[in-house]
Amino acid sequence: MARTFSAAISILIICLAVAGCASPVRDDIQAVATKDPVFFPPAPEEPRIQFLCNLKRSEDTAPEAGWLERFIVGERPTARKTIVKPYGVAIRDGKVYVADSGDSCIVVMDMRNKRRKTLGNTGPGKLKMPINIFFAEDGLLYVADTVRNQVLVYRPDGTYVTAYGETKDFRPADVLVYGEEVFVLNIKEHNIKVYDKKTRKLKRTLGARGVEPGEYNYPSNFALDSDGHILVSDMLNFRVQKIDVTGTPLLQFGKAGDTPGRFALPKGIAVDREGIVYVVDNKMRIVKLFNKEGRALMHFGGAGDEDGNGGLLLPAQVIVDYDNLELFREYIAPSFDAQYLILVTSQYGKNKVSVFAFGTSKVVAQPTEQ
Amino acid sequence: MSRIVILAMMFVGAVSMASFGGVADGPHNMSADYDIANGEVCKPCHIPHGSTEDDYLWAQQDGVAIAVRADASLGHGSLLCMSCHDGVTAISQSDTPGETLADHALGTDLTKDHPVGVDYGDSSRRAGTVPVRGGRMEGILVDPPATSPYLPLFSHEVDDGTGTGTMVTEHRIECSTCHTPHTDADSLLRAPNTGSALCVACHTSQK
Repeated sequence: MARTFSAAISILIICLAVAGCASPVRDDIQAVATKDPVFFPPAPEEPRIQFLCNLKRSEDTAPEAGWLERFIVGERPTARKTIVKPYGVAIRDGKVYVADSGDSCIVVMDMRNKRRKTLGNTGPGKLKMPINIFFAEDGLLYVADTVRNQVLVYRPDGTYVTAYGETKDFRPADVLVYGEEVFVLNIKEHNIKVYDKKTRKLKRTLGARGVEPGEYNYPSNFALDSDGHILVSDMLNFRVQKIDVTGTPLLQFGKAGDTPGRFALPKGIAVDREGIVYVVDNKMRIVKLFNKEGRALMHFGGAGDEDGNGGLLLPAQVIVDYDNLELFREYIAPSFDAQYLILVTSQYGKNKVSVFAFGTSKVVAQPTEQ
Repeated sequence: MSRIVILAMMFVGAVSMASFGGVADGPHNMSADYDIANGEVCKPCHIPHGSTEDDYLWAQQDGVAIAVRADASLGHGSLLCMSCHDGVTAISQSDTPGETLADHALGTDLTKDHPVGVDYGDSSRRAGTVPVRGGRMEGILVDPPATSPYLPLFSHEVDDGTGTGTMVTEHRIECSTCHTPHTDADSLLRAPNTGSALCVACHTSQK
């Protein structure tokens, strides 16, 4: 009897061991869409932006351990089911890259194959606090890390290449590459450091702390427009500044406030090909659109619809993308002529990566009155 | 209407005037020119209401006021903190790698730190033991005192989960229950925690 019992236990243990080894943790992703399309601005205004879906991991990750397994192998560390605290986001070749500052890695979501992996979590290129990310034209991924206080460079497959940075008074909030120069937004000194891409040597420093044009106070994000100018989200001067690559101020708009042209806390920034500027207002939970001259156009996000669809919570970064619209075609309303994607990260809440599309409503033939 | 707004602003101003010294001299003064007179010190947290001079071109309906509903897992007594404690502007990470302040805050494991964004009014937590570092502590929870040390809870409307759409009010512990930026005290606590005075204001040892 005792022997039978111990044999049964042995078999159980073997079964458990085999099951434990053989059951891979599913690491895939899903896009969660809405039943009815959510448009901004809401009707009766002409829709300009449609909320498409939220990107998240499937819930079925590691299976729960049973009591016997717990008894034999002890508590297993539970696998992270979600993106913890994202900031930056990029999209390239069907893959969404999310800088997860809370999980110290870049999450790569392959939208075509519905698979997910991470990069920057081992070796000399191990990330600590990835914030903003940028793909250069040569395909290299640049990551600003505010705990390593470096900008780290990776190949798209995750291979670590090199790092940029200063040894003191340096905390890189954002990075972009233009031509043969690497621009780093140094929030510690409220300026922009410009490096030579080949030699990695510091070439010049743009701006300083202050309130005058060309000066910054906690600049958090910047973006390149199609003219080769840089738009800086000058966070605690509550404004956006446009500069050229020598740092000469060209335009500024916004001040502190809660009305359309003002900011409560500007963070992420993006520019589309027509020059429309997207600015995340973190405290207002919205993304604001401005025209080339800095005139307020509209906003989207907020609490979303009554189910929270299209809602944002402590949004951080916004990007626009013209190349991957097809990945999300199934979510686009038949009445909406989508032109490009808008991705927004939220640092808290259920929806950490939200996908929107910019466009116009399709022209419907109207009976004309003569 | 505008008179009420002005009165409210004067009240807020008076409160701020009484307490902004701690901000101006501490890490929460994030202004570029330390201009207290123009409210630059206050603006990172207290946003002035703008006028209607700048309506939207594309969204006339939304043009005047931007009202945003709070429905968050984290209440307004924490969201304001987290807007700058984002990993860029200010520290976001706890001392445990891979965990954010919100992990501590929102998780159910109280052994690491004090939770925020949780309902205090749950009677099941009133008595018995609470997990603390290295074990459990016998005791009971009492309502935070309304007088010194004043430890405010933050009311928060949530769905009661019955599927009927009924909303209930929770009274939540947030960052601002124990911390205030309007001080230059240690850890920006609302009152000194000497002899765990702040902790035992709510966690008593008596049965």
